[in-house]
Amino acid sequence: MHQNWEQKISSYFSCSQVQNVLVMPAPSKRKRAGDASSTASKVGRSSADSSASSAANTATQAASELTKIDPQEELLSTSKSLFEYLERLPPGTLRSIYNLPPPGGATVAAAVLRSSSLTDIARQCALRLVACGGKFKVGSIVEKWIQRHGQRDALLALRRLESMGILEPLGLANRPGQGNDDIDDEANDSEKRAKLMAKIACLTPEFKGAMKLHLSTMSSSPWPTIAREQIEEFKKSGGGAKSDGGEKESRDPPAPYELELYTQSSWDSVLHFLVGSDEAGKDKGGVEEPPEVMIQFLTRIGLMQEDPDYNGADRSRAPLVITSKGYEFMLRDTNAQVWQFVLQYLNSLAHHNMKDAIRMEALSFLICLGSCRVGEGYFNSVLQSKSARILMKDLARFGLLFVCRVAGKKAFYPTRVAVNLVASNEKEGSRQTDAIGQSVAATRSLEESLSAPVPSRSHLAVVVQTNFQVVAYTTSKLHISTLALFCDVESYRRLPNVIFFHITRDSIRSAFRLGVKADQILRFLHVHAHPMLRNGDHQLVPSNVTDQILLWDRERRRVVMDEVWAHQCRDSSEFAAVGQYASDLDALAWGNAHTNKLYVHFGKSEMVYAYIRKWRTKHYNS
Amino acid sequence: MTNEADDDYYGTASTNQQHEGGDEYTSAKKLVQRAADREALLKNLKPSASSLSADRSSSDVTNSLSTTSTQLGADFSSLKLKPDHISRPCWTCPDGTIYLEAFHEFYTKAYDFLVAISEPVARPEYVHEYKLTPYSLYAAVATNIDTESIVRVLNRFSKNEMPVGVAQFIRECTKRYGKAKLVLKHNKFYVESDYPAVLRELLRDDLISQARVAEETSGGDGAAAGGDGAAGVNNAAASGNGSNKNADGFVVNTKAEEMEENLRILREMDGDSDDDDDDDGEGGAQKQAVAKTTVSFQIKGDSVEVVKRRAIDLDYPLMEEYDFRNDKMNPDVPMDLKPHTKIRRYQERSLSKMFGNGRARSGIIVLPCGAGKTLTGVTAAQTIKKSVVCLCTNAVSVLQWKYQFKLWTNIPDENICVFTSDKKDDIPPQSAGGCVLITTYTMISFGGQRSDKSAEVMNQIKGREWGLLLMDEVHVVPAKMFRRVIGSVKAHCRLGLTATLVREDDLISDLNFLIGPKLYEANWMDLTTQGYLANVQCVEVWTPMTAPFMREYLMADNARLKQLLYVMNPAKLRATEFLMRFHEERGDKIIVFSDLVYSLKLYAAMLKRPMIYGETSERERQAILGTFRTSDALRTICISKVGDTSIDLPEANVIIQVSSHFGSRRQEAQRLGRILRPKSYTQTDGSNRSSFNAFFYTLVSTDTQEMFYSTKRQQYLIDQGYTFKIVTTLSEKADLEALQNDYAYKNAEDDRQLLRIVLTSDIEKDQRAEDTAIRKSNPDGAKLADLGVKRTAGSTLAQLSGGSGARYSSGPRKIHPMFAKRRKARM
Repeated sequence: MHQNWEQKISSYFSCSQVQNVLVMPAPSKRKRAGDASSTASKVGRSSADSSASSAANTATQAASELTKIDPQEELLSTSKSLFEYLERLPPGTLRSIYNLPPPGGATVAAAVLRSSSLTDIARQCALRLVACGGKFKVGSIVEKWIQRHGQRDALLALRRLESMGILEPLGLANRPGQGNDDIDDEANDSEKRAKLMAKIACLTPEFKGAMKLHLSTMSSSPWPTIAREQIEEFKKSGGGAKSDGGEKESRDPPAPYELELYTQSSWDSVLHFLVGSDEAGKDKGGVEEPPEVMIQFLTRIGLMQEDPDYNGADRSRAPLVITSKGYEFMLRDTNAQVWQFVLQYLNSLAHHNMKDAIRMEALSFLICLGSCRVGEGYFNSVLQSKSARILMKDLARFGLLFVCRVAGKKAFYPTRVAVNLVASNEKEGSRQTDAIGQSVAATRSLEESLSAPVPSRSHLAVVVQTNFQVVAYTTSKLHISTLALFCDVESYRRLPNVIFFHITRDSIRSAFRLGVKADQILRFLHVHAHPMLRNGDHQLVPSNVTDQILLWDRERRRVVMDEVWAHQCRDSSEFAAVGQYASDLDALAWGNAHTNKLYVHFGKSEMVYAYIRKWRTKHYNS
Repeated sequence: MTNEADDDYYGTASTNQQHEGGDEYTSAKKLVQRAADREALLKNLKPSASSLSADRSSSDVTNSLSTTSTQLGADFSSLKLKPDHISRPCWTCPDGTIYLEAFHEFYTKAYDFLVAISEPVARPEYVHEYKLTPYSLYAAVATNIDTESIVRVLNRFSKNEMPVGVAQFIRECTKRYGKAKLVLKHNKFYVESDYPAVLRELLRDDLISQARVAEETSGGDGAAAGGDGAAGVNNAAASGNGSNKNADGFVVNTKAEEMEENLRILREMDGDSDDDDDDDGEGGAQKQAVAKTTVSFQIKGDSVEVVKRRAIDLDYPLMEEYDFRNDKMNPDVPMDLKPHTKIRRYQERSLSKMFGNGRARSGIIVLPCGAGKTLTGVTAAQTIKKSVVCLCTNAVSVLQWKYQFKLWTNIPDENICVFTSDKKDDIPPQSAGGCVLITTYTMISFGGQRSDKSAEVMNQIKGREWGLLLMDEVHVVPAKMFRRVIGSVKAHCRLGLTATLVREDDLISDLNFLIGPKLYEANWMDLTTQGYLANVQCVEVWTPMTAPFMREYLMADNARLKQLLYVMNPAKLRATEFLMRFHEERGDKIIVFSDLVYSLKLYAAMLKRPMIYGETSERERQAILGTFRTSDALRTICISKVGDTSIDLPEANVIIQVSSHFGSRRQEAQRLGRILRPKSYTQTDGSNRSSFNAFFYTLVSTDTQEMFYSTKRQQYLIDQGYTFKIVTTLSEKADLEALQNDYAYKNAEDDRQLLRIVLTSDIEKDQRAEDTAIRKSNPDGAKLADLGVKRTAGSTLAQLSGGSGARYSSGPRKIHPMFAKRRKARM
């Protein structure tokens, strides 16, 4: 199975070194998946979650063992959004992205400038610098452009610009993870400050060039769109007749609803498959089983696994079941889900020998897609590099693009998902987009789709009632399957555009057993709350339901496992002293005065141990 | 019991005459059975309905759906949605369930309509659930809403195309119900109907046609001429109505107009519909035209029972209406409402259902505790102005009813009398005008040897005709008791009042036929928002069992001990004291409820507050309640289950429930009702919803049976829209406070001592004493309140189902003290 996958991927990248190309998302996951299946096979019919938890334990060890992995890659692989990913790239990489031939570089530069990665001040500085020739003294930027009380922010802004590869290095740069405190030190230290102020802030030529290009371009879309005239011209010239000759057939550009349908079916098919709803393939709405490659991809990134309860002889025929990570995945919103996919895709490039080039290509392509409009199409010929075309095919597989032949040439149409992937991330971090995304535009569109004469398949609006009833306005089997994860399936009532569920202790607990967390459920209910609840001061989820779900969650953790370090004291005086020290440190878990034994929280054991040694040298050696 | 009833029924007519009440009961049983059959019909319709729709859409998909739907819930997604569904407020499921969006713009209209035709299942804030049942439809028909209007209006409100099965079900249920009425007018009985065909069908029955008053049967072609003369007798009395006769010899009258308010629910919708649906509008107009006249024939007064029974057999149950305004035979009671009496909107609403067409209908009115049920009853009695028998559950509430009658109306002292085991007033003779007689269920239905005085009064009751039979707390009365009550009191109209029409057993349906349909049910949450009820914060306080108690709990082998342990959990004691201190400081009035007398005593001792339970003497009881009502010196009282109903404490606004009667939903609601009376500082401008002014605490020991029961108990209130807030941290705070402020049980040593006491105590003795005391002081009250609910580990199914009616007679329980002592000694 793996071999198959490897070959396919390698064919995309037309690379000779098959072994190297094929890379796991993260070693920890591979380890985990392997562990889970091996434990399961040993224990036989051990329950799914017990093996999963044991796997989780070993996974953490595995992560530290495999130190070969680049910490940079590790950092990248946990990014929550596209721009967070960009932020975590080294400035050098970013600069080479800006330097990509048009439209890539220019679009990325503009997108970075618009994104939430930059503060308002940073944006202002960058734009001014572009307009004023690109060079300025730091002193004048900080002291003249900005009001007095904003100077600290100005320094932070410059630092951010530097780390995003927009400014030439000033020595301010600070990778994410480090604190902001040192900037204060620098600002206070007069000598250093003077030095800093005298420096020249200089835009990187890459960014400057890209920005200039962007500002001088008239078109809003990165590539020339397929114009209506082109299609008509093609038809006039008898392009339609040609298709009879066995050549690949040209068609009219897809209508917006067709694109929407395509997105839903291709993306939903993945999700359907994940939750194992029997609807997949049967529904005439167009949902069918996702391509084999996709399925393998799902197992690869740990969303699915072979059924650990399967006790047939041939393990390779074991049915795939969703993992707890998969459930977590289900409860996210679509953008986050797509990003997760794209991220895994980018990660899978990590060990490629041309990884940087391909990754740059991929990122710029994604960002370009973000500045496209849904419904506009582009000929394949706009993509110059070969890797970009391969990329296009792969993204089409996720439902980000719709590929067809128009006017005799291959063309691609970005879908809503692709455009939103960048657009929604531009504003805020992914957590906030849930709330903001739902706020105005989404609420209106949801209201519209609720009142549509024939309910559309995409909307979901949930009302949770104080009697633990969940009223979900939806027609999608997928949403129902998702709700069924934590609602009582025995007592549902389904009507044409609405479904009624009850939340019970058992249903919530079974969700917990699958690895779903209480806050995920609550967030899901919040995100999909009915628009009616958002007008006025209604609670999106009644507080008694929230409380109860949290209480049910707490029920499971009544016995708390804690890792401790046991220390046998030599005598009661040591016991008293060390015990005192440990409890001052808030590290003492338990002490037994009869046996002079102390149990210290593992996290703080080293400090306690250091103290013990000090205490012993003082008391026993003198 | 059933056997006996069946024998009664199949027995000859002559034996039936002796057991009128019993006969009525049997008829009701028959009707209940029929209703159940109809409901089953709806369930059977479901698969056929879905297969019907399957033909419409792609068949294989729907088939696969319907196969899954049999396993999991119900899938009606194949129903067709109307294109303008967003502007309609309800969904109608093929199984008769109706969902209503409470945030919809047509909510109020749809709500009024739905409560009239269906049974509310759950009414939380956003989406309500209703259910069409034969009873609810019966009630709808009783208030003059006709079949086609129900179907039409429901269809208009419905987002989805109305399932064929539901329309069928509505027609099936209402086809016969309410088509014929038994009207008592001018002291003559008439069978009346809108449809001559129905009367003809009834007359085809031999017994009924025999019962018809003779002069009507002159018949034939000469009917028109001869009829005029014959009908002259009738018309003389009914001349005002301009009645005449038709070819069948039926008296034709203009139909009594239904009150505007009751029909408005139908009209308003007609008004809305004019633009979108013309056909229906015309249909409505035709309906109005048809319903203008009614036909009726007179029957002999002595064969009313026979006619009623035969009508049920023919499946045309006669609805009884009492034209009290034209009743000249029974004297009026000289009573009028006092000028200061103010009737609230919902009370008026409920009464308008009862007196909708100027006559009195029998039925049940459901109002939450504290919403003024008594005033509603008094007003109904006052409207009819005929003699009234008012039945209460115990002697205390008899006095309260008397007080209320005198408070709201100007009834003279001599016209109101009380009949209890302590006090037996003489019933004034008929010549002195009508009277209001207030008594208890047990006094009327008592089957054993009566005292001379009592027997004399009973004979008077039996010998008279009563205008109204008013039944308080009607849900507690077992069906068997009705047989006796109905057999003894000949009343033209019956009105039942209750707060909670739920029973753990399922005997509610009988009431629909024994008394009448449910005429009105108020929405608790609406009344709260409008400020007629206090806004209660319900809190479930989790108190962890202390370790020694938990150990004993787990090892205990009998349920009684287990119960005692979780009730006496020291953490609970501390939490109670904490809450009491907290609320007393705030100036609140607190009731501590404990079902277990043993624990009640201990709690009272711990809190140093007085208690009331079964053995408390009447004088002491009055003294405690009086102090509690009037003085700030006493802010807390502890009460056992005697206080569940009928103890009126309008000042109390906090309840701390430390132990309760297993999973009884009704007890929970009744207890909540103790503090629902609006407080003086309740806002009536609609802002009531936001601020709580009453508190209902239930203390629950975690990890015990109590958790399970508590969830079960809350169900009814949750369905009414209440929410229970769970508090888990209060216990820790209470423990801390206990140490600081020196509570009665503050440390582990106290707990251990308590445990020792608990384990060695004889709780059975106390509980038995309580039961005996309750039985002695008021034989029905507490007993009734707990009927049908499991009270001891050894209760039988018969007890559960309320079948052990024997306990109301003088059973073997009454042992002479001497024998009791001897038996004990032997044991």
